[in-house]
Amino acid sequence: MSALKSIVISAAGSGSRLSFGHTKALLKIAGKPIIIHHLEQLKKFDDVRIVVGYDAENVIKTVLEYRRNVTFVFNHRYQTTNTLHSLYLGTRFARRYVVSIDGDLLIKPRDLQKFLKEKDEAMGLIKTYSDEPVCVYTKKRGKDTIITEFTRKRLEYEWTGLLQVKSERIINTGTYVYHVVQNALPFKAAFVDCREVDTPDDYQRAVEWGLKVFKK
Amino acid sequence: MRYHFAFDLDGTITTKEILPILARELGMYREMEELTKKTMAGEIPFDQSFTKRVQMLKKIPVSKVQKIILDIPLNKHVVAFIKENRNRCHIVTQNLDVWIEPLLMRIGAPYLASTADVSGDRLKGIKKILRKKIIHSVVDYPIVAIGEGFNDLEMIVDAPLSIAFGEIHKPAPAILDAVDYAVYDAQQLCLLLNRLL
Repeated sequence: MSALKSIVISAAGSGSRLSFGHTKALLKIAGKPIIIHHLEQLKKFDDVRIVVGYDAENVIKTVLEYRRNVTFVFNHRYQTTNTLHSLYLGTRFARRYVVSIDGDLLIKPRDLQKFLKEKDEAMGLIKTYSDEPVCVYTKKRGKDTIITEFTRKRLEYEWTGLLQVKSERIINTGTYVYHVVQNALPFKAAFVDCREVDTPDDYQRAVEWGLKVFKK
Repeated sequence: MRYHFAFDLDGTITTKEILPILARELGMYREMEELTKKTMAGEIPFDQSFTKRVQMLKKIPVSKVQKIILDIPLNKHVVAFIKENRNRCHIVTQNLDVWIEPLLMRIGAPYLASTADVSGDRLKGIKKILRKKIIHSVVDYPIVAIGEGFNDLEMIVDAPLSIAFGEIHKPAPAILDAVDYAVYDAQQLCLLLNRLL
C-alpha cells in the first residue's frame, strides 16, 4: 500500500490568527504537538513529506526527535503563498497518489487510518462547522457517497482539507487546492471526525476534543 | 527532465570530516575539528581556513594521507546510489585531488576537486581551490546539488533542485534557507534521489 502513496503534511504557515508564536502544527493537543499526532498514524508510510516554511527550524527539530526518516520540503515563500503552493512543492516527484494532510487539522486516529486505506481519489468530509467553509454537493452512488461539486454556499457537509489525489493533478495555479481538484470530480467522500485550529476559540475546542479522542 | 546529481564528499559520502581525521596523525584532532566546524558553519572564510588546514597537514606523506582516507567509513546507501547511477553522479569537493583520488577511484564516479602541488610523496601546497559552482558549467544537465556545509552554498543556490543532507552534520543555516529539501537519514535521501531519477 505505502509503495503507491506519498504523504504530504503542509506545515509552512504561521499561526498569526492564533497569535501563537510557532507554526500551528506545533500546537500541543493532549500533550503532543499536532504534527506528532499525525506521524503516529503514519508509521507504515516511508515517503512522508513535511512542507515547512515559517518556524521551519522548530518543526524540523520537533519531528526529528520523533522520527528521522521523513523528507522536509521547503516553501521559502510561505508568507505570500497558500496551501496549494505548499502541496504543489510537496507533491513534486511524489508517487502515483498523494495524501494531503493540513498541519493544523486534528483528525480522529481511527478515521485517518480508514482514510489512508482508500485506494482511489477521495476527500474527507465533516458536517459543516467552520466559519468560512468550502462545502460540497454530494450524491449516492451504490454504497458510496460521491462529491460532485464545491461551493462557498453553506451546505450540510464541508471539506476538511483531507485529500487523496493523483499527484499529476496538483499543478501550481496560484489559487486554492479545491480549484485544482474541482475539475477532477467526482471523488469518493470519506466522513472523518476532525477539528481545525484557526482561531483561539478553535484551539480551546480542539484541546477539549483532543483530550477525549487521543486518550489511550 | 533528466537530472544529474552533485554530491559533496565530506559528511555526505564519508561519515566523518576528513581533515580532522588526518590531523589525528599529528595529534591535532581537536584543533582541526574546531576549525572545520567553524568553517562549515560559514563563520570563517573557506579559502583562508582550508589553506591554513592544508599547511598543518602537509607534513604527512601523500601516500599515508591516501591510506588514512581509504579507511574512513562511507555512507553505504549513498555510495550504492552513486554506483548504480555513476553516469549521472558527480562528486564535488574542495578537498585535494592527490589525497582523495584513491577513494574516488574506488567509488568510481567522476569528480571535481581542488588541485595540489606535489613533489614525490610530499605535498608542497595548494595549486587551485575548486569553486563548487563550476559543476553547473561542466555538466550539461540540470543538477541536483546535495550537501550541508556553508561551502556547498554556491553549488546549491545555482542548482534547479537542492537537498540538505543532515545525517552526519546539522546543515548550515544558510543552506536551509536555500534548499528545496532537507533529509536527515541516508535511506530517506536515497528514496528521494530515486524519485528524481
